[in-house]
Amino acid sequence: MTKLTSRQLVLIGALFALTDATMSVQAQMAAFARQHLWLVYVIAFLALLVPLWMLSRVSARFPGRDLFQVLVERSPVMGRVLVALYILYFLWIAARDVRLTGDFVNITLLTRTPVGVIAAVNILAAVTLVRPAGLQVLARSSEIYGTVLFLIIPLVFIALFKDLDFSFVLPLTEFDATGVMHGVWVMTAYLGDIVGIVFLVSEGVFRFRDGFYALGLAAAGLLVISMLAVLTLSVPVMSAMTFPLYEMVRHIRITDFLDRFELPILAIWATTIICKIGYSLYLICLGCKRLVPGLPGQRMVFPAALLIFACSFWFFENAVDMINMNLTMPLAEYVFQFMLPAVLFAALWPKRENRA
Amino acid sequence: MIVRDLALFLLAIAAGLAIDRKRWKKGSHFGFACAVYAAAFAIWAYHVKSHAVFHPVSELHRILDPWLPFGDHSILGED
Repeated sequence: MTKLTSRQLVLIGALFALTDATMSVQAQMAAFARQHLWLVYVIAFLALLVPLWMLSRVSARFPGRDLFQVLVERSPVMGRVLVALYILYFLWIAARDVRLTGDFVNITLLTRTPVGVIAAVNILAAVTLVRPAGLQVLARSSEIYGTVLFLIIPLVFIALFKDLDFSFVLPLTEFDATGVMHGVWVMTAYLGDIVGIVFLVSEGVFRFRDGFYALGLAAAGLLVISMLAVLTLSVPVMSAMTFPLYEMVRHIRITDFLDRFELPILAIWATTIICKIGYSLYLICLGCKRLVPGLPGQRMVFPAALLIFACSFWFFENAVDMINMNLTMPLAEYVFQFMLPAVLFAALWPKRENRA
Repeated sequence: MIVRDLALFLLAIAAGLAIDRKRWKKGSHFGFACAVYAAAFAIWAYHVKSHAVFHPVSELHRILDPWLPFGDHSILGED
């Protein structure tokens, strides 16, 4: 078992929440919340503190064991059903990320390369990270690339500063509460992926403080880059684009020599999303290991990776569905991000000691 | 095209089985891994062979969309 440091857990959580929330969902957010985009992150951040707190309390009751293990030990039948449900949830996250990345790279960079090849390369990279040493390599990769990704955000701000037009956030008083809540509906489901980090902790306990910092870092990072996109592109243009943040990054010109500055940024981002796919893959294998006693998790990496690959194509009819599902899939995702943590919080209440 | 896609997937399964061939302690564990491989292959075969008419997430979206006040139907408006 690998003991994750506090810093690693914060970075893993931040990557879990941030990486794929930078994609097409940004355009829908801009269409709904308009210039009050920042408020969406504040509300989503506050809402997600609740399940994180509940899961941290559950983890504190069972130190030294991961949540899958606790579920199976506490209730062999119902616990296994919940573990199987969470395996499906992480399979869904991984399949979505693989397809999202495949479509994005195919549309923007490698237009002649089939999506299947891009998806296969991403999956293979994730397998290479997970299979040899489980969480260890992934956590260290996140430490490197997560830090670089978060350092890029102020750099983007500096590079784009001359292009910012503050009139794009006006009028500030024209406030559409319904639009903001629609934006919250869409974005919370992406930020809510952060609940996955609680399942990663198998030594010690998951501390609420780590989750708070991770979610705060992700929400603050997204808030800054979303507002930079609004100030650079304007709300109407941003909401009409498929990948507005990519278009914003393409605006960056640092001398004639560095006119393709988006490429190194994309390279860093791609590595972080591979790490995220790796974490989902690791959680699926860990879940299988707890589901079937004695099953070696390492041997499940390859079969699970192939299942993720197949599902990433089967789940979605086309790239447009990847955008449409942002509106409806939160209904299903909130079950795992809000409802089941509440169920676990209540169901895994410490047993009363028999005083007699 | 279909044969090539299926053959490549089978090749990936064969590679996976070859990598893990020596380490199985229990037959049931190996069976579980084979079941996951079989599920993956069945899904892939369904996808490439029939150009899958049923896509779970897309179908779920179509079912849930009319119930949401801000789904596709409300964004596009009505004729």
